[in-house]
Amino acid sequence: MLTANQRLVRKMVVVLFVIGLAVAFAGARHQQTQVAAQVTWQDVSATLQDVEIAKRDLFQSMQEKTGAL
Amino acid sequence: MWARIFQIACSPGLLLALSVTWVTPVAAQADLPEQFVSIKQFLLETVSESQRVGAATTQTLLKTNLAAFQQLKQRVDQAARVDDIIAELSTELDTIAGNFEKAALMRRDYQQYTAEADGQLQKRQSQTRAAIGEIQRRIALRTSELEAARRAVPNAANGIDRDRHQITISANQSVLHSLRAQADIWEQFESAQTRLIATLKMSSERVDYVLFVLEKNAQVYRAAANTAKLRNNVRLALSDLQALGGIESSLVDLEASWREVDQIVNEIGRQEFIPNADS
Repeated sequence: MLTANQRLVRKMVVVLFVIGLAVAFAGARHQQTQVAAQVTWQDVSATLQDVEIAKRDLFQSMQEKTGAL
Repeated sequence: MWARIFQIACSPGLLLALSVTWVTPVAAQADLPEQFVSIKQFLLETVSESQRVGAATTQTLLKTNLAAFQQLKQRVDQAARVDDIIAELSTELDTIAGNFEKAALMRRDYQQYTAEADGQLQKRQSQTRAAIGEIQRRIALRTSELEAARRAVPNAANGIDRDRHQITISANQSVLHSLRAQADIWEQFESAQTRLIATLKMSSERVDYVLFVLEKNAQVYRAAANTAKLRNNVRLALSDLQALGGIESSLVDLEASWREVDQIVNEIGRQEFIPNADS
């Protein structure tokens, strides 16, 4: 059987764990928002150029495998 | 005690203090240097926001598609025949089409944002023109006072009267000097503002065009995914995809126009106002 003090300590540990979890989530979310707020259309444009290159590379590989398309 | 509190509350001193507290911010806003700072701040914030609205979501979706293309290439390179991975290819094309569709949805939000921002920018431009008009009005007023004082000097009744006219002349000369400097600053600012609005509009149109291309890409990829799924034929699906033109030149134009926006923003950021000469 647990004493009243032990039950109290157990409750406090659980409460502290939940608070820590909430703080960690809030921090991660804040960091994500900050990173998201820094992305510009110039960055999107650069990524889209990479997508175009990756697309061309894929087509080339497929052409080599399937013959002339 | 309540009577005393009521008496204090209704005292003219307190009422004046309260009215000053309420009136001061409005008066400060109407002041030209304050207005300059406010318009400048608005321009810088609008440009910063225009560069970011919808960009993070689009970026995430495009990065997912980039990874999908790279992964597919790896799978193609590893497979003995492309037709062996037709199911995987079809699923991936489906995912890619879905991501392009989601990215294309940003177009409506972006158009809405730019329409609102454009309206606000036009309003600020009218404020700038009104401020220039106000300075021109003050210059005209001071010039006429100066001319009147100059004309009055030879006809001065006595030494004190002549001194009064001389002081009016030198005070007005000093104020006019400051007002002309202010007019120069506002005119330079107006020129940068006009260029910024035009360049920002062009950049926004280019972002819209890129989102339009993504919208069309989504349709073509969806069709190609369906072809691959239904006909079990990679060659046919790929010929559909290859019909898609590259958008590299548009992307280069987009980056160049944002660079131009940045240059004008830096120019505006450096512009400062001088202390008010005539209020």
